[in-house]
Amino acid sequence: MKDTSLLLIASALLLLPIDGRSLAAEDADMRGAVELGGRIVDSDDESAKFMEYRDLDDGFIGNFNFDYARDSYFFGAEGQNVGLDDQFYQITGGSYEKFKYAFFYDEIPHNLSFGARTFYSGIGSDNLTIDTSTPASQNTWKSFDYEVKTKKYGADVKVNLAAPFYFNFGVNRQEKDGLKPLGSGGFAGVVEMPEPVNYKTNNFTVDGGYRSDQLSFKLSGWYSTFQNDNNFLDWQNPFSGVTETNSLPADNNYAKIAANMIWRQLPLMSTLLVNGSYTNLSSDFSVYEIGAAIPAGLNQTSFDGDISTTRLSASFASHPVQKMDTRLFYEYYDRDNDSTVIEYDDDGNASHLFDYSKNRMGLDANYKLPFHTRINGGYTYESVDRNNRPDGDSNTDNLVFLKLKNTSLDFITARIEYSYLNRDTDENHDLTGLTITDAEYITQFVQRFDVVSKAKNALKFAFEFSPLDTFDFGLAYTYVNNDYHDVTLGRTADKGHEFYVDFMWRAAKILNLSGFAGYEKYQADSNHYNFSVNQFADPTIDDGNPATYRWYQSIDTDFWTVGLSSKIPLLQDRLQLNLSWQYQKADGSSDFTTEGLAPLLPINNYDDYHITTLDAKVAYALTDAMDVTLGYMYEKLTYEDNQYDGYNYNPSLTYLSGAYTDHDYENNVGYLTIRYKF
Amino acid sequence: MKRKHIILFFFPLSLLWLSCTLASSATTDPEPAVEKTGFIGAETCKDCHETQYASYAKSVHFKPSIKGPQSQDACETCHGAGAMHVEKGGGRGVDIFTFDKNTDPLAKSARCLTCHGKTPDMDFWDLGVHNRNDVSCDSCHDLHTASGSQKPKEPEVCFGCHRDIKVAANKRSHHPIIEGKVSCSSCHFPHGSLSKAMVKADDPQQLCYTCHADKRGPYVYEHPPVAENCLTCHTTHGSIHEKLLTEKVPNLCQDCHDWQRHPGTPYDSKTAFTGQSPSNRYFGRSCLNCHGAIHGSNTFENNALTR
Repeated sequence: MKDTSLLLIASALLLLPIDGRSLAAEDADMRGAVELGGRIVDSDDESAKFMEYRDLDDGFIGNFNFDYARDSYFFGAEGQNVGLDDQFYQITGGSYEKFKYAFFYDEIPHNLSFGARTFYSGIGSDNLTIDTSTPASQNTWKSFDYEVKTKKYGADVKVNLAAPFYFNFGVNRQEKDGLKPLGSGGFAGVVEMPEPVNYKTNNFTVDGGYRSDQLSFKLSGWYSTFQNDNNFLDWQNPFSGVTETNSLPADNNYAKIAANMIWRQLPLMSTLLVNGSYTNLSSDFSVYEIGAAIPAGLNQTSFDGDISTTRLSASFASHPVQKMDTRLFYEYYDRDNDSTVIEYDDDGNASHLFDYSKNRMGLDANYKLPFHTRINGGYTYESVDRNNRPDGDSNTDNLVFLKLKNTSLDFITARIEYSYLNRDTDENHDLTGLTITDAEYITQFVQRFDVVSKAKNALKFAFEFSPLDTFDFGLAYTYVNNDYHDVTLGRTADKGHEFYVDFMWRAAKILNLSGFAGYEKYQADSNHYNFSVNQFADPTIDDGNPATYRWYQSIDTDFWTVGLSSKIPLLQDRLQLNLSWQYQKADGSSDFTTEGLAPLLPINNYDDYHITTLDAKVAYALTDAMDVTLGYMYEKLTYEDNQYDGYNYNPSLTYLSGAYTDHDYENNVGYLTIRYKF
Repeated sequence: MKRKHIILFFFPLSLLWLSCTLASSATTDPEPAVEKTGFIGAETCKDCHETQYASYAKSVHFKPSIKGPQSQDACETCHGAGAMHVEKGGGRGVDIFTFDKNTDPLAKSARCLTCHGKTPDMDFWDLGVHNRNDVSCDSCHDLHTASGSQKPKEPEVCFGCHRDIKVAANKRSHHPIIEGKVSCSSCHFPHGSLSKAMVKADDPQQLCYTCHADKRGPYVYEHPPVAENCLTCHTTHGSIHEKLLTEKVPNLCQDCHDWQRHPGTPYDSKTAFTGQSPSNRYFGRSCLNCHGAIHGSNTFENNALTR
């Protein structure tokens, strides 16, 4: 275990009850468990996907937990996956109704891709150089893994000594180290290379307030610093030999203050809440830190990033009559970007600072109808004004929804919900001086799905059946359809169907069986226009040039999943068998139609995959205090995708590193553990 | 660990010790006595409900030092006076309040909120989605066992109702929810919040930036949808597409970007590694083969997010 976690845990042990007699006090309740064992993994393919967030290598297994409680004091310690890359430790404790504390240390692996390759030297540093004259000779490339390891540790304390006043604070630190793929280049050639990740984020939180039956208020603050050891990455371009520079996430500071106040027991059994918050995000650096050539006509040599947000909201909830409750709400949000505008080429190019403000208000009401039926309806209005987003300069949303819930039969709960959203968007393109052969002329024809006018319909229903005390069954269906209005180029429509069922059957003391199944379908259609430099940037005009044409794409994705899980007590309170199985399949495709001369060929395997998982576990209680578990896990993933079929590290004008190529795996895992409980 | 971090670490520790000291000297004013009728005492309940009493006795509710059931009327604190129930010979729900599934959820939660309603964590309960959708305290918490324990723990307790999330969390690309490294309550506040989906932040971006502080900027060159809503391109729980994307690249990018040359070029199966005319705009990571700074760029001479 690393020094930091040792320090953390050792420090927290100070919080154990220091009076030795108290541990054995009559009112003390002490319990815990220690689990030790080993694991063997049989792996055909070394796949990062299998190990994405977990450490499943051969080796030792260790877990423990300990809980101690007296009449007024409690303490707990927990450790999972001791010594492994995904280890976790936590210590909690406190005095009931007075204070609580928690200390934690958590490691999270994120394995992205194993066995990647590159011709670069200096992997992990901020300077990638080519130490061979022939980067195309792949047998000289070095092997490495794309992986990012995260360590999180910190503490939270809640103090409530002077009730109704309270005070909470916390401090935590997150460290990320590793490599992730970075693509860069241009028309002369493309390179995929290892980007160093050495991030440190420190967070400090504090809040305090007052809470009574009628009134509560709270003040809170959050200060966060982000540090990256490498703000820029220099890399030698294998096509030109020139050293180029990519920007990596810059150091930044984030601060937030917030306040809220709640008044309860107002007339009509009402509650009023007002809330406000302000945040500021800043970052600054100089062009000289980049190390690259200073652009001609640069207006500023330093960048001062400064983004502030302001939020004000209010909500008023009432019970005007016994069977009815209502809610009115309003929210204002503003993002203000006061960062430096960078211009170069004597104002030929400039950064565009994006900011926006939003107003949102609405009301909804719940009413109890006869026959155990509840109706809930509401309306929300939202307007957004954006700066430097001409395709979505402003929009207004009108949303209505209606929900019905019925529980008139003891064994059935039925819910149905419908919502309709209408969005009207205003564009504000500045086309002054542009001609039809200027590329920017096309902006007026591009409608982007995140802001464009649209109608959205959503329908959901769900049923829960409990015909027997020992049997539950549920099903749910959701349909969502977005119809984007007046789209010349961009997504014109998308829709999704989701269908889920599940059940649980508890067959006396013989069997506990549960299962689920799901099917999801997603379809999206879009319009596009192919044109090149000096050709017409207007898809609505036929310029007679066969090189400019419109084309259309339809994406279709189907996803199935099914799972079963059972708990079978083979010998009551002695021997238990747990079995679970899960299968999922994704099948994507893309079809095209074109007005061009050359036909476009469909893509049939588009993020297609199958995953099969089988878990079997037998637990035998040797004594009341000791049990042994023998387990087996099987996982298989097969992935087919048109973008990765026939992967080539060095196709024309491209050097790739093999990122995300190790998808497939088939692994068997066996483990044996023994647990002692006290 | 740097010196300042050690100091920051031990600062709350010191305050905690101070709190302990204060706690040990704190005194509680006795509650004024209130005459109650119809109460029979826990021993009577125990005669018939031995199993329930045994589990209650192991719970934090049983501790007499807290202002909980045991320091008040034991079983009858939550279930109400039991005299009529006993008089009628017992029976499920006969003149006694039960936490059965058919009992009004608001009534069930109201019992719990008698004591727990004053905790700061419950500030937004009245306004929260769970309360307004008939989710009561006992939907998620086991009232008779250890302190506030869930039945079962996260994420399974949440998956019980949120089937779509269960399916999503098991997809090929997902946040480490099923691995236990991110819990539902890492991002959501189940007891109520003012934000959509009861997330623990004012909006999705600020929530995502909690862990992904490297993405928060400010950038010299922004990608406006990134600044406004991470969920334009990413989904939160799981996706069949890498990086929890809502669609596959290049389609996701081309749904917004049409320009001269490659943004408007069709990429079909001919442009794959195995096709007639492979294109580095399509194969492998597609657009991201070049546009590595997709969340924003800090070079001074680039607005195509390639540096």
